[in-house]
Amino acid sequence: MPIYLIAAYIVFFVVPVGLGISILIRKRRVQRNIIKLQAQTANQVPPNELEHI
Amino acid sequence: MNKRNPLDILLAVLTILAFLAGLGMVFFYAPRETTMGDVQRIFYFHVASAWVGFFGFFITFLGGVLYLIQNQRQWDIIALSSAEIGLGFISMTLITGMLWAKPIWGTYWTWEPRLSISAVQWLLYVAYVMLRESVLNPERAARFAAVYGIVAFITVPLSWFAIRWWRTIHPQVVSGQGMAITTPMKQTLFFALGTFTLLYFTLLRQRIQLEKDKDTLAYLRLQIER
Repeated sequence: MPIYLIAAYIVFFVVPVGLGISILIRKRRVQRNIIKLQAQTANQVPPNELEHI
Repeated sequence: MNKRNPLDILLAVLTILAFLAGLGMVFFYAPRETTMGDVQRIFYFHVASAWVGFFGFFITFLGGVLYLIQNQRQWDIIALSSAEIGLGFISMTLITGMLWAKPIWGTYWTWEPRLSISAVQWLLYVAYVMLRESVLNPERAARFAAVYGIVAFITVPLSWFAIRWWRTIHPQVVSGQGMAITTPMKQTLFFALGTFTLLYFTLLRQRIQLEKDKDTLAYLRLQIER
């Protein structure tokens, strides 16, 4: 019976951590692309109206 | 751009500490349930993750309504981010529910009302997330997703009331007579609910930031194309 309990708490740990890591990896990738494009355009990034959410 | 926001760090640290404290309460503070034994300890995080899933879908519903009224991208971003996180938590609820059901019911899955609605709900939100990626026109995708998110939310009250309206074998912890658990169990459950809510907001902030960064990237690409 404890095997089910242990398996469940592994899931409770792995899913949120996995979700967090997936978001961070995608964020890093997008930010790297932004830096690359900014270097190309030398344009200012538009002021982000969603900054305070 | 890569500078870390102090609030993000604070939220992450608080979430990790609360998660560890929650685990401590589940395994060392909450008493062993007499009928089900140790496997009942799945219940605390299972209920908390279902709560966050439902709350996430409610925020998607609210974001959809506000987007349709105000037509502002920020509501669409919140709705999309919340749906993705809510889906993660509902997936976790389904998996851990099955892990609890096997030793208690003798089967991982049975097509009773609560479980059937949960399966439909999971599929609906998987489709929501996939749909966002497949529609090319962003404004059209946002409008369609807003309506979809509002309609799909019906599965949340349906799931809540399923164990009250229909004959079901799913346990009912909260009823008209209050909660059928002891005080340390209640305290552990409420602590887990708080911890998972904190976890939701920590992830939501990051997911919103990702979507804002994507918008910036799309803007820069447009600049280059011009």
